[in-house]
Amino acid sequence: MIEQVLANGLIVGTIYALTALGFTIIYRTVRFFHFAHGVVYACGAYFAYSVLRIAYSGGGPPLHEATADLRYATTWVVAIFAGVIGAGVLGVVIDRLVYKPLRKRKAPNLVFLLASFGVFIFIQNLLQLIFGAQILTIRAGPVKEGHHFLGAVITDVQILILVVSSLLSVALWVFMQKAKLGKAMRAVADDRLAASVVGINPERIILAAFAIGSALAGAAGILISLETNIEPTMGMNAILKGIIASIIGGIGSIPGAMFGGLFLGIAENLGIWKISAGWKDCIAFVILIAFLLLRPGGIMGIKTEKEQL
Amino acid sequence: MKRLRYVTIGSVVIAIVLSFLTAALLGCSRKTPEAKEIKIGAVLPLTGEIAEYGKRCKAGIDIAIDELNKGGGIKGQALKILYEDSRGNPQEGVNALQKLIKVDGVRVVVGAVASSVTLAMEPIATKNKVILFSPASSSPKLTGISKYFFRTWPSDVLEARALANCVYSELGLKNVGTLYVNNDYGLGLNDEFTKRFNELSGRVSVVETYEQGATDFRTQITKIKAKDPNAIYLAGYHREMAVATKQIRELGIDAQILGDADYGVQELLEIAGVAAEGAIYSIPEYEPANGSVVMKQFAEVFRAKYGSSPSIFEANAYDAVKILAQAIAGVGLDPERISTYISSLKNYAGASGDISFGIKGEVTKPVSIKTVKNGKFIPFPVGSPNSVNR
Repeated sequence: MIEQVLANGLIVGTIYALTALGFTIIYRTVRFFHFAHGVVYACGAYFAYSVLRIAYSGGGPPLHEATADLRYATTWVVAIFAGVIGAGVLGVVIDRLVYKPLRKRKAPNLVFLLASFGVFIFIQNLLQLIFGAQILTIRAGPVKEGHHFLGAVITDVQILILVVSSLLSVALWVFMQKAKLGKAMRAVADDRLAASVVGINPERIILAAFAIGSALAGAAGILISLETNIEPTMGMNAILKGIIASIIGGIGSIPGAMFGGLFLGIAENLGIWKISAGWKDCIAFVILIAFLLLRPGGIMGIKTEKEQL
Repeated sequence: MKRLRYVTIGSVVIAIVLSFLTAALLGCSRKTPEAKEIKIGAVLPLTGEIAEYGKRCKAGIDIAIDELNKGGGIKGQALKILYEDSRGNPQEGVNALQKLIKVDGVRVVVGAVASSVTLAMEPIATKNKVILFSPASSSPKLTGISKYFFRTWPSDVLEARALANCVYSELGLKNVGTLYVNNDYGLGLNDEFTKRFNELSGRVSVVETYEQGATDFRTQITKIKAKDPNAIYLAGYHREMAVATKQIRELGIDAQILGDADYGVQELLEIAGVAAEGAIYSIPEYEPANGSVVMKQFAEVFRAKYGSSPSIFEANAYDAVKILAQAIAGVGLDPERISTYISSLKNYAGASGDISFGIKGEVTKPVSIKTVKNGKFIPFPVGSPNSVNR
């Protein structure tokens, strides 16, 4: 049984990690809690859904019965790209329309946080208006028993989630370490003033951070919607867990966000197993408080800075 | 010059006085039709996680109000419905009710949907002597809670007992695991089912819960799997039941899946797909095709207006308004007398079926057992008559 519980924790943990990664990338460059990240995650799923909806409306099987038919392979690829890129663009638009004017006015962090909440609620209600409050589904095949693997049962979609999330995390880490843009992003994260002295344009870096971070959120949203469903309110839980994961991992750290997500997912599921499901969210917050009190730098031991909220 | 100034001041004063007088008169004349309106409040989850049910109830209420007003209202007075959003949240529901009572001065309120919200609102309604009429709350805790409370949705007691009987006697399954939503609704169903199943000397070997809105039940299901029950009772809302159904099958469990009234929703089939095949659930009976003239009529009007078939939610909400209107027409807008009127109502021919209010003002309705076959909801056992009053 422990194998299955760990597998369950790992699957949900990689989704937490992916959300936390996007959140962290943005946080380390702009230094405020981009709460609307959660709704960007939901939009990623809705963008992909819209493409599939339009593609399947001209005949073909109903969306929820759509099988992994090769004829539809291109549609799926287009839908996934639309979701990921759409989410990235949305993140950039939020930054340009809302955060950039605030940055110009040198608004305090609290204002950014409130603005972010506002954007979250606005877009969530917009989703509800356009798509309705009901849940929508995208399926890559009929429901069937998963594969037995090391004492646990794992479905195709869950394997996809594990593989894609791991690949994205590693790719992001390599990008931040090796690519010129990644290095510049780290430089801005370390010291915005010094970075601009050596000729790095901080606005460009912020743009890149929102694009990449939001695209990751979109990817997470699509992956989770293949596994469960899409609904307008899905962003709230995602961002809460994403923030907790990035704090316990060490806020601003990329490996930290990954470990934090996995740690949180596994801890929650061990809690459901040993205590009760009613304590799931409670466990998440107890872990958060424990980390804040005992190890504020998180798993990666990131030094806290005075700018933090 | 001086005289001119007096004239100017004088005319300004007269103008002001006149405009006040006109405004006052206009105000009066505007108030007159308002006084002829009968206001009914409605507290429903119009947004949030259970907005779907709120919207369904609203559709039913709208049809009832339309019909009543087209027929001349109640003794010539038009009905006006005031909707407030509870967002499916007890605190919001209480706020909405307070607003309806204190600001709008309503004496009768339809709502709420979720039992937890209705339970929170009931003390406020009772304290203010306001009738609260729920179209969808099924918690056994609401039975006889107040003389000002009524509902068209029967208590979970009936539904859960009927299912327990069927599982034990007809399916012959003796070992059941339950997975219920951790609120008044899930708890009520789980308690009643367990009580009845134990009475029948069946065994509920494992009990697990989840929070409303959860999408991951795998670890709870893993714990249930370890006890190897013959059947798993999912007591909750269709979104969660759908995902749980899917995850039960994905984890390779072939136990009989059991559900509550909310299992019979098309959306569930879209989410759970083939995993829902063979699932069995109990539901207050609603078969307009085999029902009374009123039931057929409502279904037709509904289809003409919305282009889809009504569910029991729309029918129950419609009936709630119609019963309230009949009571107001009979005894006026006095909640005390409305309460006496409704509690003695027997065999009311409603859009949701025959409605009677019995002991403690509780509504009684027949329950039917259904199953999912080839992506359709059909009576269980297959080929049996629709109405099985267990």
